[in-house]
Amino acid sequence: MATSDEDDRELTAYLDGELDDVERAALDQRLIDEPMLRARLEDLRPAAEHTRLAFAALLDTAPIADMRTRLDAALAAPRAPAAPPWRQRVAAIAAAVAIVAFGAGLTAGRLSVGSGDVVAQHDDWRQSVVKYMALYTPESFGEAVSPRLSEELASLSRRLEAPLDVDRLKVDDLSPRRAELLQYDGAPLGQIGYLDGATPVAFCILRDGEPDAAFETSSRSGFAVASWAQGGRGFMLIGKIPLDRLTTLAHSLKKKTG
Amino acid sequence: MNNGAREEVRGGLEAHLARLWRYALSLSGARDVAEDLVQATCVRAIERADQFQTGTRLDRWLFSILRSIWLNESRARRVRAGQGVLDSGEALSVDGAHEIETNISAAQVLRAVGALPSAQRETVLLVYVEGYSYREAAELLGAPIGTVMSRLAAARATLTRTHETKDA
Repeated sequence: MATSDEDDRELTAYLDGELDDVERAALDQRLIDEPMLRARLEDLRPAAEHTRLAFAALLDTAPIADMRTRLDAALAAPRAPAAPPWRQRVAAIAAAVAIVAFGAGLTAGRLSVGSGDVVAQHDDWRQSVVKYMALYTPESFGEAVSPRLSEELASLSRRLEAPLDVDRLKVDDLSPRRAELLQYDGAPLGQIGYLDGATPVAFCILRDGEPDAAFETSSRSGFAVASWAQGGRGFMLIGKIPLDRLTTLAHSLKKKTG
Repeated sequence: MNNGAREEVRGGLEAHLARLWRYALSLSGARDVAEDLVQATCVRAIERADQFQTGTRLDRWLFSILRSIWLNESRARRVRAGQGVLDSGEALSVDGAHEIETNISAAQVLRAVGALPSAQRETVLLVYVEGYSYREAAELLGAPIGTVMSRLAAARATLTRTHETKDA
């Protein structure tokens, strides 16, 4: 069964974190039931991230020195000139159908994310998590603990072949609130959601056969991140909380789920 | 007089120049025009700094100014920027050694986004690059949220196809 434009709309809103809880749950169920839909989701997934990265490179080519000079002049001037020359140029270009080298001069700003070594390869999914975590709000992990949490965790345990239950996933004063099965490049990706105060924290596990990697922490896009890999599974704890707090939580999780 | 707002605007403009320029480039499709649009935006923001509400996001306010200047200029000449402005025909010629992921370079992605219909291109920039929520993008664009969703879905489908073609 092929997917439709309407499916694309829903999948897009899903990927963009714009479905409400009911719509999201309905789509989650369809994704479990419909392999074609799952495949389409994965096809559509990278476009936003690729776009973001490509446009990030574009920033490096901005004529920042020129703009700064002109801004300084504008800030110093008592009033703007009555007929600034930009009007003529804007009009001229709007009138002509300009052909544009959108990213001309981009050579220096090209990207190398994900290309190359094994570490970077296995880091791709973590980058994706960082990206979609940015879309989360406290509501994303529900106002209440999922009533089906135990079942959700049992299902994750099976798919990830890792022992996961509520007790093991309790760390410090945090308890898991919901557990979801996602996927990345066809590999099962489990996500367990916590709230630290009102801040979403996610514990993610990808069973992709990646080689063991030592525990390490970093800050990415404003998130504290801990990551490690063992037994063919990659682990990641992420949240906008202090790095030392996240590190402590991650160490406990590593010990309890290893 | 709203001195707090004025100081915030005057002091905050510089930090947003590059992103304003990127938005202007995606609207106008021309680098010199983009630079002029940013300048016009700065001038107007300085003039109207009193109207800025402190505690709200300065970058979003500047984006809305930039957009309205671009639309007014285009409309005044009865030449709205059509979807041909950023034309994929003028291909970017960068040698493809570096990649975002397998077989996809930044230049390829930019070219593909540049070839999208202008409304889709602008929506993609706002949501995927600038991090606007659907609701925020809908407000700026003066369009229903459903329209934002449709544009993004169509854009994702097109970009996905483009990348698949490149892979083939």
